[in-house]
Amino acid sequence: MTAYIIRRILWNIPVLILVGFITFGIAKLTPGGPFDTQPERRQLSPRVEAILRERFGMDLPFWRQFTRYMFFDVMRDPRSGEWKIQWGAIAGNLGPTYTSRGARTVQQELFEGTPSRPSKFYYSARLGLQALAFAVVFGIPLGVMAALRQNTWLDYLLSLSSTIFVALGTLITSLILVIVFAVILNWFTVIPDWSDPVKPWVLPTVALGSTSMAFIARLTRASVLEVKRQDYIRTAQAKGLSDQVVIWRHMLKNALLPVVTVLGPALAGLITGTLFVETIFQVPGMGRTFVDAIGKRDYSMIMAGSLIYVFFLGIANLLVDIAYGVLDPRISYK
Amino acid sequence: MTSSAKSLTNPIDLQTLNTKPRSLWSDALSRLLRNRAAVVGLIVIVFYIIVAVAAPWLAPYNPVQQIPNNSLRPPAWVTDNPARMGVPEHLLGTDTLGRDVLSRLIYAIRVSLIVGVVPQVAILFIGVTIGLISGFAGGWLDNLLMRFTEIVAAFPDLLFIIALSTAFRETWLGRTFNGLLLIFVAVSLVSWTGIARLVRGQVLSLKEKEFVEAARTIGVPTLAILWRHILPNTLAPIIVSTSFSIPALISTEAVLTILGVGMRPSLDPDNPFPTSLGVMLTEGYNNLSSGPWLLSFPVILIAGLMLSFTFLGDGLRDALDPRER
Repeated sequence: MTAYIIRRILWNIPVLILVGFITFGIAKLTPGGPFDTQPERRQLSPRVEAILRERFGMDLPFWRQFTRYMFFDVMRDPRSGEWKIQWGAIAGNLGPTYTSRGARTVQQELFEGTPSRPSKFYYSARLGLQALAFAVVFGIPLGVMAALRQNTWLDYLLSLSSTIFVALGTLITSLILVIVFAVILNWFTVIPDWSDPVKPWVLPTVALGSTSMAFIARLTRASVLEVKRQDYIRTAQAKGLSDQVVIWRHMLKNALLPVVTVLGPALAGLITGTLFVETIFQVPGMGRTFVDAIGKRDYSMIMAGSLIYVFFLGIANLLVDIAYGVLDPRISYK
Repeated sequence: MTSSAKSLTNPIDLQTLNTKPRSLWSDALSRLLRNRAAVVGLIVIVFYIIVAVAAPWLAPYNPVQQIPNNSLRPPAWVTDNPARMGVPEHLLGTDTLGRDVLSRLIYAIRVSLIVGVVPQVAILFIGVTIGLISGFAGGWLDNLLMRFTEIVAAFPDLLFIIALSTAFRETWLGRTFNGLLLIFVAVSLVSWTGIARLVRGQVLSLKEKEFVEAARTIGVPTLAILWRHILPNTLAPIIVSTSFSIPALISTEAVLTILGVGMRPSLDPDNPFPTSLGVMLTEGYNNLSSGPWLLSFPVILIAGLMLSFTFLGDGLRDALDPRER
């Protein structure tokens, strides 16, 4: 098991490097540069631009720019003249942002916040975790309910609505929620007021979580139905255990195992879903920042965006795998 | 008379003559037609296709024609505001520029269907090719291709598509066909992994089957084995996954357009593909407070499209894989 986990973690390293390489390649191949994409800002004089290019190392060969960003670079301090090592993304240094002309780093931009003005990461992470909690807390009981009352109207209703939610996907669900709850019923404002701790979070959380919820409910139902037919359930019922004990102690314990596997894809959906859910509900999170960064050719922010997303996807999948191995003693990882 | 009397004398002949052979496909079709949700889905899809093809004859106005003093009219049945009344000439109202919403919707369906189908063809081509080679060749080639697939799949699809669409937006690629060509390329480059894995899995089990071995022993060339014997047997899961993939593609276009890196709406009255459902969603979302119908109608249409394909896909899966039941 430990060996398996270590190997999985190690496999993430080449994936991250390759993803970084591909992203870097696309970003650099893109026509235009970071200093000419905002015509409304004061344009740089050629001298300043030359200094900035020098500072960001934009005139270095491609491979060296890449290794400087991802790993480290040895450079000379312009004032003291000493040689020093500048660490890159592997040490958590995600580089200076180009839009701030190097004044702020990506990690400051994304992770730094005050209690009154939380960081962008806080908004995205909170939205994602809330959506996951929503999906699990509602999805599993709904699936169990549908399975226990198989072939009743409740089962049909739940199955139909979960099919519909999965089919519509996050985008259309978000827009329907906006139309119904913000425009027709007027319960929420279209432009959110983030000083309120609850209200602006409701719609984006439901929108982001609903597809995963439907997915989880559907799988839970199938899995409970499978377990319901097993011999040991009949044995438990035959020896006179109450329905409650059979359901909670015998049925759910085994039925919920396959549900853990679906959490991986669900998490992936949640993580990429934040990209446009944040736009639709105007959440000041990371997703919008990354999309904007691509337009502004902010190379460091673009790199940080794909590395952060792939990093969290890798961790999510690893956690799901480990959870599965811990919960199901029949599974042994080699 | 004579022929039936003749066959009566031979009961074996009677059986072989009068029972039509039932293939997998005709069996599946009859199972599909018994599934009510799938039939409804199929009918709705056919309806959408007819609308898309017949758009120039169905649309009451040119979809980009701006009618002066006619902007932001609500649908015809909304008559509670005397300053802005719905009129029967514009059944579903007009948008901020005074363009007829119904006509725009009709043309938008056309583009959205193309967006669902064209990249899917490319995805199938790449995915099936890699899956076939990987599964049939085995060994180091299989290993290499599957590692490659794994890395492409590890990349967050949407992020990659957004990056590509933004990066090449101002090049010739990003201008061709209102920016749709770029979307097609970007989507096809990342979305083939599912099909490749699916086909590889099928090929791995099929190539051990007796009929493939038989074909090989009588000297059928490898390519012919792949094309004539293995590929047809992988068709059923490919068809099912296609019917789930098309709505996903339509939704991807909408996501990209809402983020500002998707299709560019055209203002050219002669353009046969001026707008898409994604463009209409974006315009509707941006004018949410002044004209909520601008968002509602495209949402209804796109939802109908996605539900129909999903119901059809569910039906196809049940029909093509009877073991499931």
